[in-house]
Amino acid sequence: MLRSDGPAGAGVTMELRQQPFPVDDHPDEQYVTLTQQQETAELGMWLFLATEFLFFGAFFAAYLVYRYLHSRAFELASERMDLVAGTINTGVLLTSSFTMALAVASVERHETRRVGRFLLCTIGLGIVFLGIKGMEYFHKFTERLIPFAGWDFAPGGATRAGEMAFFNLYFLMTGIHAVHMIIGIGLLSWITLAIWLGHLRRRAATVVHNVGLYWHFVDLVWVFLFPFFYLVGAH
Amino acid sequence: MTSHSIRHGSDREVFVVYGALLVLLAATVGLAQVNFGWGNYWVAVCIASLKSLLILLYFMQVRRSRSLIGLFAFGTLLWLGILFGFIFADFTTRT
Repeated sequence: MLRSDGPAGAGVTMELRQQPFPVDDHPDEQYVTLTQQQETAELGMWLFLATEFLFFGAFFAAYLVYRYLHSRAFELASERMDLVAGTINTGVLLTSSFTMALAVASVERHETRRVGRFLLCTIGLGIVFLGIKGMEYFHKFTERLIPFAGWDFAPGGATRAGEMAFFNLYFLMTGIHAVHMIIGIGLLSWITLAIWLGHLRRRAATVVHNVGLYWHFVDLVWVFLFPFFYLVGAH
Repeated sequence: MTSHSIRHGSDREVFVVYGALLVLLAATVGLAQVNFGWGNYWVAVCIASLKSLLILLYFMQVRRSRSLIGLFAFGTLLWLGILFGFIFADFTTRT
């Protein structure tokens, strides 16, 4: 049953963003059923996520090699990490996945306003994460823990090479993760705006779900990054 | 049939999974305070794997999707296994 009127009566005079999502009755012509179309879109996103798993997987493999070769250095380097900031950031990202899941659940129930609010929460939490990360990076700079060529790297002694490897991997992996976060925030902003302006009427559930998949993936990567950089050895 | 979404969202499930994830976060940080030697690594990896399983199955809705999605989601582990397997077989056995 297609609802084109809202509580105000004639749909024409009502603002676009207050109209509920219309029910999408027909698939595009190359699909047999609507379910097939939705599942195809979802599978496409999963295929992309599979490539992303491999992409990050290679970095994790490099990390594990260096950790195996420099285990003591990695423990020392990990102790220099800001555990409070890392734990808070993990909590922030898990909460953003929570609000994202609520947004997906809302869009499946065609609740226009709640979807927008949950998406904005997710974006806000993503920005908080990046802010805390930026602060951490700045502290690494002031504590002279940046291992790039030509920079003054503070730790010395026998474990210096291993600690340099740790921090190289730290900046590389969390940096690329942050880039993925920025892309995710961009995608979320796009769909939030599109839903608000009424552009994503027919495909809202699929699009929100697929962007949600990307966001959960980025969270998943951090779930592994956190213990590997902040919890090496005992604290 | 008026609603054509693939599946219907359940708020309660989302709350329960989120709570479980926070508990696991507390557990992983708490257990990191204890010295298990190399056990620390395995504890951390196990808890992270558990968290990612929850995220995959519930937040990413793999549990409610058709099997092909599950194949893509978990089949990637096979390829990662090949990557990790051959790398470790190499450098851990160098003399």
